[in-house]
Amino acid sequence: MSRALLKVSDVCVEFRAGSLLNRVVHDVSFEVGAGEFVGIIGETGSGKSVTLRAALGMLPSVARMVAGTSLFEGQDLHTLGKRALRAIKGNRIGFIPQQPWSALNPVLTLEKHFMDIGRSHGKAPTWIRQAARDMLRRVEIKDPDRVLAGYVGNLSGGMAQRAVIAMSLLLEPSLVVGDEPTTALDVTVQKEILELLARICREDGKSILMVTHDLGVVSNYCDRVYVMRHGRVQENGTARQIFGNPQHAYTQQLVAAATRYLPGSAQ
Amino acid sequence: MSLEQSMATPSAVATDRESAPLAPSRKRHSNLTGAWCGAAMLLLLAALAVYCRLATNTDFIDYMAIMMEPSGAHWFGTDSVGRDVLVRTFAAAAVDLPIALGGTAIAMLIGTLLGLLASVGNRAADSIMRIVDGFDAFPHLILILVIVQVSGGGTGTLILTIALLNIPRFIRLTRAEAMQLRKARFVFFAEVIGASTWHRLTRHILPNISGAILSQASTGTALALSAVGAMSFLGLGIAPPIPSWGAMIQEGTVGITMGEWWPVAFPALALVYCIIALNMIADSLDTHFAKEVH
Repeated sequence: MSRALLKVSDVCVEFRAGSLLNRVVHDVSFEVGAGEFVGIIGETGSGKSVTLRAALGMLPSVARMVAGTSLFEGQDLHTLGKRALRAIKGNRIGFIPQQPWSALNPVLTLEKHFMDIGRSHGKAPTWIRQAARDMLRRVEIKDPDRVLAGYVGNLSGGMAQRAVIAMSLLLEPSLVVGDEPTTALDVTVQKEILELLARICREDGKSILMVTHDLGVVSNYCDRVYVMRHGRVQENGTARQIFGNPQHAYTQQLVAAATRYLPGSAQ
Repeated sequence: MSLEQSMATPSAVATDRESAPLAPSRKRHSNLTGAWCGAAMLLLLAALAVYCRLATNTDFIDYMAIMMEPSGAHWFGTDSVGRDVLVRTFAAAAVDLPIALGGTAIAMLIGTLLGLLASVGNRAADSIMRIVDGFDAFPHLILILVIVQVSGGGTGTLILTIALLNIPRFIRLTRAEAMQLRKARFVFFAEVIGASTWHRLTRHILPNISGAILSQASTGTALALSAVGAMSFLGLGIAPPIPSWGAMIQEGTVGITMGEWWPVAFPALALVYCIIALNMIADSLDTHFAKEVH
């Protein structure tokens, strides 16, 4: 594996419910190398999104990372001050949310969203406008000016996700993080979006860390895979190892369940 | 068979989404008929008020027409000292409306700002809410009496009092709406891309709750008008002979038992007219912004 861009070690997360503490993530470690496409898979409730949010210092107020470190480019995100952390988010780490419609403010135009991202990181308005147009063209939006003038409610699901990807890539982050970025889209659009994202990141040498429960996504695009269940990493390895020769019983079940529904596999 | 095949391939029916027209823009002018009607009603009253205030003598006493019922010469009748009720009713709008609007506007600005800060959820935010709780626990009538006694009354005092009484409403409303929106995905996304807390509050949360705040401002102005009227009625408001609806109603009550209804009825109707107009604006804004956000 190439040099680790993001190195998460022994992360434990607890949720507080009144006086009760519930540990939902147990000693999770993973790494994302430069230029790598890493996937974290697992069933709903396995703790993958919480792990991702813990790694980025974005846990909700009821949750707390009680152990572990999260080093990004050698800096521990949990010991950084708020201002320093903000300077990294959106700038060095891009984020692609699950549902593009709800991730964008319905009363702001797309241009204002791009301006907000750029201005939060000290970019000039003229630079932001030009960079937004260029990035929208890269995500294959043919008429960027029209899209920039519109609201998220004017866009189809695919268009909205393309716009969100353009926002995430606007400041050329070295790591792009996706929390089930294609779950809300239909399968046709999913493939288009994933191929687009993988191509751009490959061309620019960016790393991708994607949390998903879609095994198809992981098997097609990921270099390395972490399988999570009950807040623990059960198994990790290259996509070929995980899907070709799964070692852990849970991974075997997961792969078997996925292949059972493939065309021609019906019993 | 490999898992790669579990990914769907683009179907032949997939359309070129970028060439498809954008969905119709949001109808920004829908559902605002009530607001425009309410605003027109207030503007009409304001125009008449300015005219009566500037072009007529509101204190002119016609000694030959004391307590005359409505007639061709005096459409709204005259009061107990022979002043024209119509002129004074409209002129009072130029006094009462600015006080109510000014007090509510100040309350809206301060209350919204404090409400946004109180929604953050830290110790300072909790302190704001404890102060508001303490303020609300204090009897407002006593507070009004103290303020008027200390300051000696006048327009400035009334505006300050209206503002003080309305600020907690705006703080509570703004805080509640902002706390609800803090969990919205677009606010989370803004945080993830590096937006500061202030930026999230003012850029992402405030525009989405402005409808509720404007609606509250409209309702608050209506309540403020009632409060100005009540304070004038109690002798705590505008000093005579400056016309004010509350004071006019108070002066007119002495004749009610003798069937002299007009010195009370017309200022009261003007008050009701304003409150209806303001409530029309509030209802319309409520509906409009609720639909916009959804």
